Amino acid sequence: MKNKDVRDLVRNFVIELVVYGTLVLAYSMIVLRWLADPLRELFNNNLLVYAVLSLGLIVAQGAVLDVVTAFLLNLLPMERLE
Amino acid sequence: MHFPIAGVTLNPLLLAGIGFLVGILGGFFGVGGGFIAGPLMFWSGVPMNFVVGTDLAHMTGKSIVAARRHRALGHVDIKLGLVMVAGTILGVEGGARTIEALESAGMVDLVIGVSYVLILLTISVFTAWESIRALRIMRTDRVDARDAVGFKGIRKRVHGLRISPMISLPGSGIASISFWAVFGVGLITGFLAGTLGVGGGFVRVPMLVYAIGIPTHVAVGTDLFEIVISAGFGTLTHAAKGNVDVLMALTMHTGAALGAQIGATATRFFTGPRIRLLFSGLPLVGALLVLIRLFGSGTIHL
Repeated sequence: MKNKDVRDLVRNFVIELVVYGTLVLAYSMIVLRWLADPLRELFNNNLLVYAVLSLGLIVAQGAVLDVVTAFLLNLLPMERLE
Repeated sequence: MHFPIAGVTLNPLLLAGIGFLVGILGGFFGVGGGFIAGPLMFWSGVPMNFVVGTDLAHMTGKSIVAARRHRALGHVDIKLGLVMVAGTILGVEGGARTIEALESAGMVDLVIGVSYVLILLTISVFTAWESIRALRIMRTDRVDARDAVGFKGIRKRVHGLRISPMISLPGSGIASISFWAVFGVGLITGFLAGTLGVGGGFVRVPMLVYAIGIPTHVAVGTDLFEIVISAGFGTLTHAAKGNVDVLMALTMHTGAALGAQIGATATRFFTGPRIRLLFSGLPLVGALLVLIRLFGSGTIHL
């Protein structure tokens, strides 16, 4: 890779980290706080439903974050640098 | 932030940071990263029973991202992954029963801890030795990086097995191989995963490359695909036993999702032997963490 490509790659990576970090922070503050009480209730009262819901949530978040990160990687030309 | 299920207060950025670190390792090397994430979570103050289950849960989400990424790059052999999963599930069950037997004999920490360190050191030394040889072969014989493997003895023997049914793995460029050879890799790595309490990627990737002859990039991608299934199953069983704090897993996964994308993309900038050479350092870190735990808990005295 040329020096310019490496510079572009590092710059885009830092931009992505900042954008993504902000999104993650907002997500933690809003969504996770909102989910905390209902999930604790479920954990204490029905572990089986809690188990299925846990897997569902992590898979759903995996799918959503995959789209978000892929969008960010495409937006910043990190993928095209080789 | 307070995590009411595990009953601990932690900075979510710390959890996301741990996730980011193991996400990069997972995306790049095709490992779940449990042998690094587990000790880090424990040292952050997460109770031990929540460490294993929560780590598995975040691993499921992270591996989905990385496996999809590798699939888009053509690095996942679904057929290979499905055959291995069958062996892995049986192996995990066998490993869990071995743990029970060792536990009732009161030797579980010593036997598992010492075996863990020995296996990790063997993998590390062997992978480093082989990848350095492969890099030399690439330089001196001008062999393509895809074909450069410094050790082909095991692969020749495995491919020489003619026990039916024979299967083909076109996604990995293998015309014919015994079903039992692939199933066996799943069984052995599943057993190690079941006894050592880890995903087993750091054993499975070298075995796929050296024993089955899978190209390194495909071994990494397919291992992640296998982790999605086995860690998903583990998440369900652990959560049903009350060992998963899904809020922590979701927080860790936010960091891991980005790390996994970056790690998977980075594999394109490195040749197979170079990835394997970098990989050889990982088991050393795992061995060091286990040794610290063994000495710290007084299981081994100097």
